[in-house]
Amino acid sequence: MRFVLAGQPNSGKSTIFNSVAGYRAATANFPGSSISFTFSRALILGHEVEVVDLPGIYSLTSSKEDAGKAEGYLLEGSYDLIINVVDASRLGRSLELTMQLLELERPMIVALNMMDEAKRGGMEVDHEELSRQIGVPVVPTVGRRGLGLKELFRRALQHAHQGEDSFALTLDREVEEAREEVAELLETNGVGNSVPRRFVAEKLLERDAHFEREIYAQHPELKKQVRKVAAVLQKAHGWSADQVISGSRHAVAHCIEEEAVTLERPQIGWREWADRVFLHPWTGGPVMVAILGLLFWVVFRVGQRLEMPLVELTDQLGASLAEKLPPETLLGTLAGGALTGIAGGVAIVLPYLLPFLIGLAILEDSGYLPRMAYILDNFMHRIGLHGKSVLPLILGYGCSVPAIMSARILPSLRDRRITAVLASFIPCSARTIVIFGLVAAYMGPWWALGIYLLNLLIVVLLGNVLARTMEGASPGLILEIPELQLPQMKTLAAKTWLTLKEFITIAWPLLVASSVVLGLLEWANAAATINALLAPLTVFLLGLPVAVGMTLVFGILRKELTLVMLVQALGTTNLSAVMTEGQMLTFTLFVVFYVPCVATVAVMAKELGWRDTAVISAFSVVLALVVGVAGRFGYALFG
Amino acid sequence: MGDNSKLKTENSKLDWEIGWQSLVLNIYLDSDTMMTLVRPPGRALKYSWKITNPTLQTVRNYFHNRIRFSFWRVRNLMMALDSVDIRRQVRVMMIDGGHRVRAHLNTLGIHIGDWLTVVERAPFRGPVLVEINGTRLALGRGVAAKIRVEMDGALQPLVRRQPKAETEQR
Repeated sequence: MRFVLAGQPNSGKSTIFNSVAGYRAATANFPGSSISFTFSRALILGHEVEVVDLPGIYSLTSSKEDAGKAEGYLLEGSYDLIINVVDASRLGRSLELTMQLLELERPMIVALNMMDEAKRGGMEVDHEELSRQIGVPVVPTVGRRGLGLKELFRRALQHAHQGEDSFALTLDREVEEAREEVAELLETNGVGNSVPRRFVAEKLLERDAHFEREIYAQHPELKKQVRKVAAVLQKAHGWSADQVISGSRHAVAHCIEEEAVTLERPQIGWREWADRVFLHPWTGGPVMVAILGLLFWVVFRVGQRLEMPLVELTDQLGASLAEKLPPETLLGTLAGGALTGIAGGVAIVLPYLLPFLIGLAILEDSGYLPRMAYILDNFMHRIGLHGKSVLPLILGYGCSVPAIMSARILPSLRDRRITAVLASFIPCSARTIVIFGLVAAYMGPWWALGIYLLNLLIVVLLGNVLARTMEGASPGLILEIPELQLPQMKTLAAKTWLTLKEFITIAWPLLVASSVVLGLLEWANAAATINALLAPLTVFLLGLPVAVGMTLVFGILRKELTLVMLVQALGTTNLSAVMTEGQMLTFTLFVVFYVPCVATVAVMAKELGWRDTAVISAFSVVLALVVGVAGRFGYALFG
Repeated sequence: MGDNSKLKTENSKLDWEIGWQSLVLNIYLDSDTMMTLVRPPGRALKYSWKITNPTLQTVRNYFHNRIRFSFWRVRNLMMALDSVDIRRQVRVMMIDGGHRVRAHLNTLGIHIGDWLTVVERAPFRGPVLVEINGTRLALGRGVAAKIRVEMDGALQPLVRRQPKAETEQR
């Protein structure tokens, strides 16, 4: 048995999904937070059910590529039931998608989600009336608090067992006639068995590119006949056929909404007041700077507090280990390397990673990110992009991989490519650890802030250059601003854990293994050879210690490795003893800019193609060298 | 056909409608004589005459000026969304953009004839924040400039309402 969660962006599909599947799909309070399918098996009332979480779609005619995938799955995938998640507070608009899903004529039930928000907005939704109107079961839920979900899945199971297909609603008379006519044309030509003919007919009338391509390739003679029907429809209404259909659907959805909803006075609460401050022309910008500054400061403070005792502890451990197993022996080298790897993870990475992830999760869940997109739209236009690009860029501070993937929320290919490239240059949490663990810890927070600002400046300049060289204009910002939400501890914890788990299961073993390998290489004196090979770069250009060369190689695997490897290579956790401040600055600058890590390169290759990825990687090394050298001499002159 | 008293000329019935891309004026001189005037987008006023009766040519000069005035009025009653003040309720009259922008706005709930409120305008030609049916949308200035709205209900949009009987027969 397989259930599909489908609905408009930010209607709470992933939240419902997570409630049955455990925290698997990342949720956030902005439209387009899920970018790929997530599958999970769940046990519901003793039945094993597979649940599929689709990315949000605004309508089944969406022209975006990623939405096309979700659309394709809904059309051709094999599943037993659609759970249409509907945002009750945006009922009228959501019903337009519901009506299109009904046309698929598959078993379907509606989860009327976000009932609490609808109530706050002064909407009393009568779900029984709604169910009568659209002819499928409707279950009211509050996904965020888990209300009604048990009932939802009970009804879903029941409905899937009955296997009752849904019926399309009747639209405008002329539309219905045109649809019938085209459906008959299709039938005589023997087209469309898997998908309802009336649905295909509607898509052809709307001139949906995907269906036109598929059907007219086999039956070119149909094109003229369908266009003729569309022309009749156009003549009757005076606008093009797709607008007639969309307008008719809008009207029907509006009628249903009027039947099912009683309007009351909306409650004005803290959300409205907060929004007034966040979005006010005068206070919006300063408040945003203050929020980001606070995030930076808290991460630094908390990280520092946690780091110091941990570093002391691990230093002691390392010293006692060195006494028992002298590092000259092979076993000692191995044990020492492993300990540095583990210690590096605990003492250096976690103290900064944890508060940073929590802070980012709060920003995501509260719904502040789309507001930042609104405030920064103007600024992004200067670069040649628009406000929506802010979302991937901010996510880039967490991890480049989801950031590059989330660039898909942008409608134009040009914007998507530019944003993906820029996101790869944003210092992700791994690079943040290097910045905090090295520069902020030893040189002070202002230097770290300076690195962030310098990075931002370079990203802006790069964006400007890219936007000028790539043709096409940006289509402009059209972004839904969701309601502000108080982030819930449970989701925050689950979300932080999801990212942290990835660090612990993937990065940490890698860290320990690389540490051991580095130890071995040192023991076998191979590290010296590699370091000597890299010496022109590290010593001559950047003025760094020779031992640093290896760490930069490991950094390509994961950027955190550079810092932990540095500890291993230089043989102490107290780095200020072996590196000058200028060297730290140069090292950090180089690490921030040079080749993105393997995972990022892989996802970039998938999104942009290998050629571009190679160009960008090569460019990033040159950029890192330039910035590093500039940092070295800049610090020598002014520091 | 919208019946609009503000735009009526003295001696004849003047009717107009706003198409998707153009402004159309119909002037009924008598029961079977109609002048149709079309202003294509981005072009100067051009109009065609469908007058069979030659005596009516004398009326032409008179109407020429009235018509130009009417266009001026219509154009001024309709404004781009990006120039609307905050906390104003306006009604969408036409969307100037191409198919994709229109479809995108439609899916987000902005249709011709819908009322929306301008909630906030970002400074320095930043985006406009509008509220429509309880949803808040940020629209870049470029997009907002493509949405033509009117403020006080002086104009009637070209929206064919669904006859109630048909939509209820599900």
